[in-house]
Amino acid sequence: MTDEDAPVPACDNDVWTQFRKHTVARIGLARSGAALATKPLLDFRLAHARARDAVYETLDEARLVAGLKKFDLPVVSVSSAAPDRKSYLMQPDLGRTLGRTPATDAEAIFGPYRGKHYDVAFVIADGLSACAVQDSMGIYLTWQSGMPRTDADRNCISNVRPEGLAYADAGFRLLHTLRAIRARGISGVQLKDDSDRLLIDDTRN
Amino acid sequence: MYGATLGYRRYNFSNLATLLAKASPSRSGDILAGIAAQSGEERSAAQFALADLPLRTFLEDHLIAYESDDITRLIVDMHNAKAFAAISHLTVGGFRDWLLSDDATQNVLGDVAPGVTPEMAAAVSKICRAQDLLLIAAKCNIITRFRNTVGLPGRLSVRLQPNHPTDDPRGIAASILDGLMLGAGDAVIGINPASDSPERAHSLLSMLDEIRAKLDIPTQTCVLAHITTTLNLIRRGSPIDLVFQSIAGTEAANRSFGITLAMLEEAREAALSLRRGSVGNNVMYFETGQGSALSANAHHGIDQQTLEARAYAVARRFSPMLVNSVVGFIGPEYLFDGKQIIRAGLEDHFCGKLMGLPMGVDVCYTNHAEADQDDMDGLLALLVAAGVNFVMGVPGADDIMLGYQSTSFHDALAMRDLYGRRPAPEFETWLQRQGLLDTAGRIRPRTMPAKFRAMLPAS
Repeated sequence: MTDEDAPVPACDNDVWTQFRKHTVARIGLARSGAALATKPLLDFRLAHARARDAVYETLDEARLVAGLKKFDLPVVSVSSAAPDRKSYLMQPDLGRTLGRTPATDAEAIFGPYRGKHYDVAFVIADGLSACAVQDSMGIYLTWQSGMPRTDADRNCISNVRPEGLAYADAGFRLLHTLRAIRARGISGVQLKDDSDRLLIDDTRN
Repeated sequence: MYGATLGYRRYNFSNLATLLAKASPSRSGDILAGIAAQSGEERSAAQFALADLPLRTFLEDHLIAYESDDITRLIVDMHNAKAFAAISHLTVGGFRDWLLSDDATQNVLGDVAPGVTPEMAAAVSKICRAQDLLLIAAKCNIITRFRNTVGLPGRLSVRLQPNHPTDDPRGIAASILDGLMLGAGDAVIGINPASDSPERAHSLLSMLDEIRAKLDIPTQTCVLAHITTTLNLIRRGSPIDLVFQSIAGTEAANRSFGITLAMLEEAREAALSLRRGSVGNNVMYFETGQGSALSANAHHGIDQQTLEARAYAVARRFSPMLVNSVVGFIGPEYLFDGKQIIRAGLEDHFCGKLMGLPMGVDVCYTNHAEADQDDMDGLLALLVAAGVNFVMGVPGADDIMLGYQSTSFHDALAMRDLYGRRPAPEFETWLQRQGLLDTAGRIRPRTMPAKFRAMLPAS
C-alpha cells in the first residue's frame, strides 16, 4: 500500500474526532482506493448481524409491565392476531388486529374499564424489534383512532432513544402535541409540530 | 376477459388488473394483497396472454375508472397520441422486441416516451428479463437541470443524505462534509428531517443554503418535509431549491399521503417563482416505492409494480429534477428478500426511464428483509450498468435516523471507478477546484480543505 492509497490521512484524525462528537453516523471511515478499509467493513457487518438477531428476540413483557407500575395507570396486556414474528413480518395487518380471546377472558381483561371515559390510550407494541422497545420508540399519535384513519391522519415523534430524541424532549413534544390534538380535534398533516417555536419563545422570555 | 391456452389447459383472467397481477414476477406484496399467480404455470399463462395484448388496450380498458381516480384522468388526458403513433400497432410482446431492436435508438425512445402510459411500461416490464430491463433502460437518456446537469451519458450522480436522529445541525454538517469530500451531493444534498416542525425545516434549509453558498457548490439542496410544510416555508421566505414529496399511483393512496395533484402544482409554481435554478428549472423531487398503495389500503386490486408505474405518471406531469424509487425501504411484506428487491429496483428504473423520467434508486433494505450488502452491491452494479441517473450516498450506508441500510459514499465511488462514470460536469469541475481529484481524475481526497473544516456550525 502506497501513501496515496492510505486510508483517511492521519492529519485529519483530529477533525473526525471533533466531528464525531456531533453524530454517530459512520463518517470519516478509513478507505482503500474507492472502497472501505477492512475494519469499518467488518464493523458494519457486526452491526447488521446484531440488528438481524434482534428482530427475532421476544419481548420481556413482565419487565415492561413492572416498569409501568409506578405510573399507577391501568395496564392491559393483549396479544395481536400474529402468532409469531415471521407471520407478522409477512402480514403486518395481523399486528394491528387483536388475537382471538375467549369471551370469558375478554370480560376479565376489559370488564373493569367498560363504561369509563379515557381521553388517551397508550399502546406499546413490540412491532419490529422487541429489544428496541426497552429503550427506544417511535410515537404515533392519532385523534379518534377508532375511526377509519389513514397515515395522513397521524403525527409521528420518531427516534425517541438515548442517541436520538432525549426522553425529556420527547415528553415535551408528546404533551404539547396531545394538547394540540385535543384542543383542535385533528391530528395528522394538518397539525404541524410547532413545539420548536415554543422552545424558542421560552428562551426569549 | 383475457386468457391463454397452455397445452390442454385454458387460463382465464377476468380483467386487465388480474392479468397484470398474475403476470408479475413473484413478490410478497402481491401475495399479501391476494392477487398473485397461484402457480408458476398460471404466471406463465398470464405472460403469454399479456404478450399478445395490443398496446391500444390500455388506452381503452382503464384499471381504475376515469370518473373515480384523478391519476387515471391524468394518464388519459395527458396521453400524447402523436408520440404513441410509432408503437400503436404493437402488442406488448411486440413492444418488447421493438424496444430491444436497433431501430429503437436513444432519440426514437425519447420521442416515444410521452406516448407510453404507466400500464404499457409496467406490462412490457413484466415479460422482460432483468437483462432486457438493463439494455432498454440504458438507451433512455433523461437529462435534468437546476444548478447542475444530471443524467448525461457517462455520468453518475449521488444524493448526499446526511440524516441525524435529532436533526442536530452540527451532526448533519459533519455528514455533509464527509460526503462532499467523497464526491457525493451532485444530485442533491437532501435531509430527511426527524421532526415535521416547520421551524426545524427552516433552520436546516438555511444551514444547507449557507454551506452551498459559502463553498460555492454547483448543486441543489432539499429538506424532505411534507409538501404543505414546504409550501408554507416558501411563502415565509425559506431558501427552497427543490420541492420534495412522496407520491403514489392512486388518488386514494395520495390522499393517505395528505396530497392532491393541485397541491403539487401549487408548490411547483411557488418554487418556480423563486427562480433559484441557474442552469435549469426542474424544481421537483419525488420519491416512490412499490407497495405504498397497498400499505394505504388504496390498491384497487392492482399489483404493486403497475401502481408504482402509475406514480410515475404523477411525477411526469411536474417535470421533476429527480425521481427516486426507495425500493427496499417498505419492508419484507412487500419485497421479501434480495432477489425481489433487485428485480423491483430494475423494473422501477426501467419503467421510469421509458416514461421519460430522471430515475434514481435508493438501493436499500431494512433489518427485517432477507437481504444484505451483497444483494445491494448486485443491484447497484446492475443499475449503474443500466445508466441510473443517481443513487444515495449515506455515511457508511447506515442511516442513523431512518434506521435502514442504503448505499454509501464509498459505494458510489466504487461504481464510478468500476464503470468509469463521472459526477455531473459542473460538480466535477468544483471537485477539481477543491483539490479532491487525483491526477487520473478519480475522487481521492488526501485531506479536508480548510474551508470545509470551517463549515461546522459553532457549538
